[in-house]
Amino acid sequence: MRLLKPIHMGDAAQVIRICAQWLKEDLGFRVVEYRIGNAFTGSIDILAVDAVRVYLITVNTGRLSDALMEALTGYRWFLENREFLDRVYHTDEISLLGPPTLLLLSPDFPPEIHSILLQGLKMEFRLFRYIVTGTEDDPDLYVEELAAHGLTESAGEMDLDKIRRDLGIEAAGLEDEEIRDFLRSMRAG
Amino acid sequence: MKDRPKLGRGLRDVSPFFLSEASLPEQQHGEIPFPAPPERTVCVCHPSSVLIQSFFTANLALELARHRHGVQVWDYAMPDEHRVTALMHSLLEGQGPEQDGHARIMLYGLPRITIRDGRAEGCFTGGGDADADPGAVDGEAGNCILVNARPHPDFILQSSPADDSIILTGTGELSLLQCYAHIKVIRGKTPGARIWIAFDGQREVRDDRSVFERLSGFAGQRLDCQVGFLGTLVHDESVERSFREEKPLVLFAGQSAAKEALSGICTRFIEGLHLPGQGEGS
Repeated sequence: MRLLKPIHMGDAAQVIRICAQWLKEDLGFRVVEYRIGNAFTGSIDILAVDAVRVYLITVNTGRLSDALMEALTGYRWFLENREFLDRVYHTDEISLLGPPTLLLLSPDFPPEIHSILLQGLKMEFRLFRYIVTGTEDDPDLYVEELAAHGLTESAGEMDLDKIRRDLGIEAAGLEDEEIRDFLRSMRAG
Repeated sequence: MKDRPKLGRGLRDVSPFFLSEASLPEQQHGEIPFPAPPERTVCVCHPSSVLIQSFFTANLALELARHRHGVQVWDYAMPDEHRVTALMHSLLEGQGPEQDGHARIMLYGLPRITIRDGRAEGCFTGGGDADADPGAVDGEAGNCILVNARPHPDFILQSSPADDSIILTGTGELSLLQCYAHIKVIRGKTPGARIWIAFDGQREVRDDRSVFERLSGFAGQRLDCQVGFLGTLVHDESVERSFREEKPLVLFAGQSAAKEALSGICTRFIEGLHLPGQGEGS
């Protein structure tokens, strides 16, 4: 029996590589490039696409506030340079002209992060909490999505039956509106 | 001369009660001026982690015993390595279940703890059957049946009602939704039951009180029920050591953040046992 306790990875690049592997295997993303940009232009830890969207991914390995600033700066830089970047990376399977989504992976988030970002950002974003366990030489990654941006507005499109099934709470008899109200209430801060 | 009751009692009168473990003969029970403490059934569930649920149950059992409660654990957890007996294995008398299928723990000076394997039954059907272990429930402060639940609403619906339910939950939205669903099921089945929440944090949850207030506020508004907050479990090295050594964390010497948090949660719950339940007055 073993508790999988989090470890601190000193090598940020390795954490990013592990997260990229997860993005490919679990979310089906195609990774286009790593570590684009710099401290002045903002940086994107992982640039990835799927069939429709472009994903600008920042992996927080330090302070969340620094990572968030880096992600937002990188997002602006990407929008200003996306045609050029598309010419550089464009293939039959890769287009950087799709709608962009900001992804932020972090070991921890404050409870109010949703209401803060919902109020403050116009862009589409998704938040993931990750934990690295095992050892630095043989790490394991566990990732949990907090919630997708816009879920409140698009609550009617949520697959609530799937949520009920995934959580095993069918027997509780929660109404659709009750679930939506609950999620809104938890995000209200 | 009128026959008056004696003002004092001789050793012969008091010894059957105070000087031995045996209770008074049946005909003398009426003379005890205070009632026996009530037996309480406490259901523990963690919808996201059976391992942490059993870890919590094992430690709560010891803390209840330390507070002079007799404890009988009914263990419905699966798989085997996530059961209470596995997490307390180093303490078991005879290192495992005895012929009657019960495992027992006897620590010096504490009421005995009995752990009963409930997996074959599927759901908790009450503690008053003939297979129960009367020697295990000898607590001076009242007896507790701890139900280490199968963490699913169906288990709650099919089981006998518990007086208190402790729900351990993460603080992500979906974990909280899962927790709310359990609150609703418990509230619907047993309106008078008391419900307690403890957060399970990989690291300390910032602003956990605010998260709890949102959850309890919503439950209060929708389900007209009050929910008590016990605190936040913390994970650190000592928790893993507890698993490795198959020994509950509260028995380890020295302090750790996890042990401090766990002890605080257990203490708040045990103090709360003496408070009135839902609908029993404030």
